[in-house]
Amino acid sequence: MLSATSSSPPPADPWQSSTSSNAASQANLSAACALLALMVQTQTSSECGSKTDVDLDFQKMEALKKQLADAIQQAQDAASHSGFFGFLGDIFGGDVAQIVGAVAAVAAVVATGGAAGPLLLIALAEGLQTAAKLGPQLGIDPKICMALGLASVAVGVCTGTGSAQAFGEVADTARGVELGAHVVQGASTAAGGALHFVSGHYQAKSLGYQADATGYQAANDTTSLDLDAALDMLQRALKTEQRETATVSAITQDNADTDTALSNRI
Amino acid sequence: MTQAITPTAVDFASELAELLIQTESAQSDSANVERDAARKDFLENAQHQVDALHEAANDVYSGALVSAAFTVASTACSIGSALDQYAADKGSAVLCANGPKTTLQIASDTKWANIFGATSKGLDGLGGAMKTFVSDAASAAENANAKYFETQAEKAKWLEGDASTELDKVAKVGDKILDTLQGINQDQNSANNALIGRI
Repeated sequence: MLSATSSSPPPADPWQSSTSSNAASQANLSAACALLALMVQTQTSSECGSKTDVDLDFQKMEALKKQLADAIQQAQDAASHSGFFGFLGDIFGGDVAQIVGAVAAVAAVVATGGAAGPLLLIALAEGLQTAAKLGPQLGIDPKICMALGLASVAVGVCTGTGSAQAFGEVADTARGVELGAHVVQGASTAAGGALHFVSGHYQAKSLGYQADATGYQAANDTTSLDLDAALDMLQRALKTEQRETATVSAITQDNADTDTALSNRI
Repeated sequence: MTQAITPTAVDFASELAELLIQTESAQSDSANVERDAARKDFLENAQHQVDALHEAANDVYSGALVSAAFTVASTACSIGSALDQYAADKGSAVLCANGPKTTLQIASDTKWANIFGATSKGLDGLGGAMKTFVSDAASAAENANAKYFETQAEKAKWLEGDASTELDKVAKVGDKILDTLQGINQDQNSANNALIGRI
């Protein structure tokens, strides 16, 4: 009896239609959940890719900033070296060469002065001696007068006896001095040119480092833009994921509302 | 009757949304292509700028080298002139007052002194001109090129920024479309549920 009862077909279930509706709803829910899972998985992959891009761009930017700082520092060092060697080049090629050139010119005057040379020196010595003597009477400082006296003695010694014979030796010496001055002037000018070359070399290096810095800056700008794009993509992926979740929640909610409405009607 | 109307409205909204989304996708793709092209242009122009600046630096180096070479050559000639002039003066100094005023050796020394002196001056002037030609002018030209490429790179950067802005705008429009579609669907679902409950 019990078995017959149990083997008999079940009576008509008044909840049958509701059960089938629940099954359909669950099927819809399962499909929605599967779709949600697939979409979330896709968005998660996109998020992971964007995060990796962000990390890589950040590391690249850090490296580029370091390279940029190094390039700027090297450019500054090279510019400093260029300035130093340029200064030395100016001294050797300018000041020293001019001074030695002036010495050579004076020596040339003495060497080529001929008979007028000693006469000029004698006249200069006499003039200085006279000035030293008349100075106190004219109210000039005694110290200056003493200096003028010493200068007249020195010029007198240089002129010797004032004879042309003695001046021949002076002229020889002056020619030697002139030659030495010319050689020193040339060497100084050459040294100045070489130092200017070294200065130019460092200036070129400085410009090269500045060019490198410009390249690093451009790469930094590009990486910054890439970083912004990756952040945008990450933000968009998060937003899309949120939207998809909300959409599936709305579908689920709508299914639930429909089931509730059907239940209430039945 | 209501069952017939509702899907039609949903279909219309879906079709409209799909159309708008397709438009948004096309705009987004276009903006992406523009941004990639602008990025490529920016990188190329920046590289050209860097190359031009390197060329300018090389020109400065070449100018310094040429200038130094001419200076050293000029100085060598100057020293040679001084040595020959010294020999000539020395030879003149030992001549007798009543004898010949010069000798072949003195004349030769004087001649070479003059030649070396003139060569020295010529090389000195030529060095300055060569420095201007090799270094200053070429470097200025390369710097001008670098400036041009810098301008082009800046322009590409602006275009890339515009494309990014366009992408943002398109994304916002897409968000609005999706929000609207979601609202329509929700309203439709609410209406359907209300109808089901009333029937």
